[in-house]
Amino acid sequence: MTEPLLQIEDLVVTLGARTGDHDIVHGISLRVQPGETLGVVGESGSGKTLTMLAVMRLLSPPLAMSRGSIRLEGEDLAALSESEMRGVRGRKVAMVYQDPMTSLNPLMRVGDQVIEAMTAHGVDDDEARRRALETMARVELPDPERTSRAYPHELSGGMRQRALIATALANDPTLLIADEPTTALDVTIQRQILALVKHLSDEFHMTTVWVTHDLGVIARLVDRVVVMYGGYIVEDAPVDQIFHAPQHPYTKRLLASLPNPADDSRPPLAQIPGRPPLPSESIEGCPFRPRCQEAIESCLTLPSLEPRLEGAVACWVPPERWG
Amino acid sequence: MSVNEVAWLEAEDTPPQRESTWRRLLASRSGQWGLILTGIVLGLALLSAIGATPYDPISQRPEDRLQGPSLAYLLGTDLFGRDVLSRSMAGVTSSLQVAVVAVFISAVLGTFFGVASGFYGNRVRGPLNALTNILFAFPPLLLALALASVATRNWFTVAVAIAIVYIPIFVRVTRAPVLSLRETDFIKAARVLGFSSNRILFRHVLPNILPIVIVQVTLSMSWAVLTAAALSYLGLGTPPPTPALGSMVFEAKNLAATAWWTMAAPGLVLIVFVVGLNLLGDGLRDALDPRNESNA
Repeated sequence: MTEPLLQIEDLVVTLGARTGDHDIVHGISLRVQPGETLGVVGESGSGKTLTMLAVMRLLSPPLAMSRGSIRLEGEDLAALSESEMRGVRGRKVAMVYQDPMTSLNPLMRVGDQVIEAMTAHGVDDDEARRRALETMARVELPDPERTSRAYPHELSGGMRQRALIATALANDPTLLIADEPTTALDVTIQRQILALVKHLSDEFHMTTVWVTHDLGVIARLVDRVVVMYGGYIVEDAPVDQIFHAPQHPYTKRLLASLPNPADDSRPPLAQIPGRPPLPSESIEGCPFRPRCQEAIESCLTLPSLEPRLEGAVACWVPPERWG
Repeated sequence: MSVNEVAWLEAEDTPPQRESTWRRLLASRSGQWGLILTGIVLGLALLSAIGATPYDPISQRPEDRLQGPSLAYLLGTDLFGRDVLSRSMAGVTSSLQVAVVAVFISAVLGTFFGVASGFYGNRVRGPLNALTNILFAFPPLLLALALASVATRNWFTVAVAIAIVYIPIFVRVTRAPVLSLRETDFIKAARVLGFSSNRILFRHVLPNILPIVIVQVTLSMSWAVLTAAALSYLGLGTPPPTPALGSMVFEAKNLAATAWWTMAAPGLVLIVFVVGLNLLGDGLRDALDPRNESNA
């Protein structure tokens, strides 16, 4: 097996508070192989975005990475100085954000923002100018020459997201983290952006991590899915297995909550009763236990992530014993 | 998907081009009057600066003392036979000199401290806050009075005194927007792209608060002109014989019943200038505020 591009070991993210510290991400471990496309799925507050911010080393107080290690191409990111880390951000690891409407500087021309993404990393002006137009063409912005002279408010949401992707891809990063890049867009534009990022990551052999709360969004995009709940990884398996043979009750309930207009046998919008745990709540044993229909006595002990079938799952109750 | 398809899909919701700030300023009533009034006063100051006053503002002509307005002396003469119009024009220039220097100093220092305390976390914020609050506690006129009486009395001391008093205003006015800018997505996005703090500060934060600074500069100018006039009225401003609007009003206060023009002229110039600057400030604020886009 090749060396993983990104290797997270036993990551703990802690929220410092006057009343005491709360762990929000509870010692997760995760490997991303070069060229792989990974989906990280979970509800708001499951710790998926915090994990990605920890990779970028952009957690700011009161949040902090209190344990574990993150290695990129074998290099321990925690050991880097702040200026070395700036060389990683935007050059080796790029991130596409949730909200394209506000993620571009309103006072700078779009082209200049793509150019700056490169000049900030030492590319000279002429080269950056040339490559900016190329990158804007790559993200399929119409008429790059003209669009590069536009201000963000002159562009539509979809075009802004393309421009944002252009700033992220300007330096040919090896790892792209796409954190819900389509939540703010309407459905047709959403599909275009998803197709675009998939196309680009295939063409440029970019390893991509999709972070989303919507399983439906990533079904056709990723090779492997990591399901997070309450700051734990509860299931980690190839995408086919996640969709056809979910091993964790939470994964199963997530799938069941996907709207499916063709299926009359289900309520139009199924939901999982209860709510995810708050950071301040400590739940004995499995974090999903209070909402889980399959819970048994042994669920009062925290299950660890154990290999099962093609993947791994953290659950005491195998699917054949579900009610 | 093809580029054409994208263009077709996205052309419809492209918002219309935004009007320029300048156009919107010209379109607003307060912007128009602000420009006209400040324009008149600045024109007078400019004429006097190049020596184009009708008479020498300082030389005395005792034979012509206390003449009413006439064709020879458009705004009459004062107790020493000096032309009131020429003196008012020169007075504007010296008031303006004080106000411009004072506001420049306080805008640069105040914005620097405000942005620093907003952008860099709590380490800088505490001490800066304390300092600002101390300065803020002084009544402006009192601090200026104290400084002007302790230091050598010239126009620069007056300017520095006013500058110190106005620094906290710029600190406050710039800090709050920097605090909220720091949390905006595009500043976070800049960090994600690996930009250094200095780059983010100078290329992304400062340009975004510039409109606020511009408006504050305009409004502070009017206060600074008034404070300068008040100080010179109290005899602490620009020393005589250089005319200043405040000292001209002071000299005229016993003549108001007999030679009203000696007080009316400098007073009127002062009012026109201050009202003009305030209107211009209001107009600029509206023109620079993106939320007012539709009702410009």
